[in-house]
Amino acid sequence: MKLTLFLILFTLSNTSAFATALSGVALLNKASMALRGIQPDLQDQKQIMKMTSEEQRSFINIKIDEYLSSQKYTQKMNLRLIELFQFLPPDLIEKIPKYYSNDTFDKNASTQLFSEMTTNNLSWDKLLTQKEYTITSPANAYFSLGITDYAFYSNLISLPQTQGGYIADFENVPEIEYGKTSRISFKNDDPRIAGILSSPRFFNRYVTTGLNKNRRRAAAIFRVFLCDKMNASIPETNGIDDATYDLIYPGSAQDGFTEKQVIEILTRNDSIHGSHKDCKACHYKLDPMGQVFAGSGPILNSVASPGALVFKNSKGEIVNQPVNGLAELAEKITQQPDYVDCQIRHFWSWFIGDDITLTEERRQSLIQDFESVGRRTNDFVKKLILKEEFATRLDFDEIKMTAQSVKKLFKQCQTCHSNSVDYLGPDLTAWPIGQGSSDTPDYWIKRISKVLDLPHSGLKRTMPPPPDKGGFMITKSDLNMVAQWIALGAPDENGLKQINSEDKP
Amino acid sequence: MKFLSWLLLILVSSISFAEFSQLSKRYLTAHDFQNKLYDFMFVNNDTNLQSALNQYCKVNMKQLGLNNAATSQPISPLPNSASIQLIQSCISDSLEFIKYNMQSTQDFVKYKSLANRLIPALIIDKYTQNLNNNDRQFWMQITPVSALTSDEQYQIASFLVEKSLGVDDVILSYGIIQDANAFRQYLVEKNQNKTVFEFTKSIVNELFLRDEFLTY
Repeated sequence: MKLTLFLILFTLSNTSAFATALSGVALLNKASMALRGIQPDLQDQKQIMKMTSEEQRSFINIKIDEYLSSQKYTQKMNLRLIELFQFLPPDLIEKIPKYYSNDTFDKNASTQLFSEMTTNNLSWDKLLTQKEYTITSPANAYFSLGITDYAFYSNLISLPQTQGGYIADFENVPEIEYGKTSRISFKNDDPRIAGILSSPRFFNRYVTTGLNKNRRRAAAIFRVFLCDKMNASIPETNGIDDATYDLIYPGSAQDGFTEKQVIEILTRNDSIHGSHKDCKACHYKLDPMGQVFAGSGPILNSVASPGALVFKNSKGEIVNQPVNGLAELAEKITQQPDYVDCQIRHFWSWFIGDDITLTEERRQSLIQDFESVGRRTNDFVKKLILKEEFATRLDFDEIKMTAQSVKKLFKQCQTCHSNSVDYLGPDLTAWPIGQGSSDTPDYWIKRISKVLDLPHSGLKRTMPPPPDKGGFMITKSDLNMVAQWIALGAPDENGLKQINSEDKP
Repeated sequence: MKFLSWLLLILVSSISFAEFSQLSKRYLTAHDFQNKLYDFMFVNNDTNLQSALNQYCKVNMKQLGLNNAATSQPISPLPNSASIQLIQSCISDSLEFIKYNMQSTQDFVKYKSLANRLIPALIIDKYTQNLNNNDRQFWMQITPVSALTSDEQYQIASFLVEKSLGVDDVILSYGIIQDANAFRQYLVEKNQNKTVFEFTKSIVNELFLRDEFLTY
């Protein structure tokens, strides 16, 4: 009875038929795992089972607050943000336990800001608009591989123990206590400072070159804050030599180029690249945003540089807003509905999961929640944790799991296709496949089978292109999974067949 | 007996491999795995033991599904044989480390705290109270599990299941195990003809590989 009442309170009215609402103790377990990465205390597990549904609700509420203020939650969110920003150097992946378990890992201006987001329950916008940093002296600023926090910011404000923006002498600086943290702050109207965007780790991770012209930094901003992945679009050449390839792979077609010749080719081809229709699909938005980083090599320019926020929003309207520097760019981004939508999707992905559909109704209610809590990080996380979707678990079902996995794989395909002007097919992730086209799912699934060459285990597949041509690696098990899915009748996530499995391609 | 084995096969499905995040289930990150391991071994507040465990249990983030820095996607889309191998050797080495510690100490209090990670205190007390210090240290390694009553064996299995997977309601919520009692009984029956130490080690190995441990 107790459980039934609880389930009613926590069950979504539109939960799909194969979802099960979690009991109070199972929900507590999930909340603890999602927030802290460890199970709740056994004592708490046993205690909650003796409670009435009302008591359970209030107990879970208290426990969520407790988890949200724990160090483990901060660490977990920190790691999520590090992954989101792709800040983790690949060569250190295997060493995380070592670096994560001591202070070193946390101590650079970026990770300190990440930590503050949760420890101080800051508005999520502060990722873009924060004007204060905790910086660490060189010895412990491990992740500032190139330029230390001290050196980076000393270019902007006067810091002791530095000369001309660089630490004068690492070995003999008695004034610097290694590993010591200092708090630095900039004026609220400083046009150069924009949270994580003006942090050394961001600069080191997304380095720029003469050719790149800060587009890599702009692409990272579009990816993280506006969910525009902007995968590199490599045009199909149909066997004809395409000058764009010379740009993308300089020197690869013909060996023996001197560095000077490569630079000449790059300079010459920059205009070709910029004018190619596939490339323009991204460059119209990357280039103006990249301009706000003009003059900022490894260290932020001490003078703000104008640029513009230009992109086509989700309503299909062109946003074109000139900005006087990084800070204004960040400010404008936080005002975009697409930014709010994108950030909500990050949280959804972290706490509910990409495999659970974010319905339009839920999306709207989450936007309201996000705004109602002043966009504060922990408050919004709590709102999300208390949603019915979090309190349900889909039943184990191999067919539905296969469908989910296939859709996830197709998402990777779709990321590229949606950015290609040449792709005229349907959205591969909108099932039944073929929506918006005149052809049936059967036709499109046959096409998929053909391009993946499933009858021959992918031996002569034409899709996806390899990673060096803008595609991704598809494994044998992926191909087998798609073949198995088709053999099952290409079921959707509810197990409904899209084709008759006897007519499999 | 045959029927029971068949029934257990139905009730107790082996580890179900899924994507790292699938069907509303999230797989542990490597960092979570490490935290849960520390939690299980009671070393959360003991940095010396943590670093010792790290020596014995090298957590390779790639095999545990950490995202690729370049793509933000899991490096491996599925927990694979390497993941299993990693977890198995991690658990095995950690427990061997504890065993080694038990052998190297003359301090019964310390021994007991180590054994307590795997066995309820009452059972340890019952079987070791009349032993000298030296025999106490080796009790787990030299005593066949058959020396314990079947009820005690079941209690050890329950103790380990609860510690690693949680209370029954949590376990059942995954929908993989349908009968928690039958599952515990299965663990006991599967691990006969072993010493007490091997009995516990083998159960922990199996529990740490289950979806109920690796997902939430």
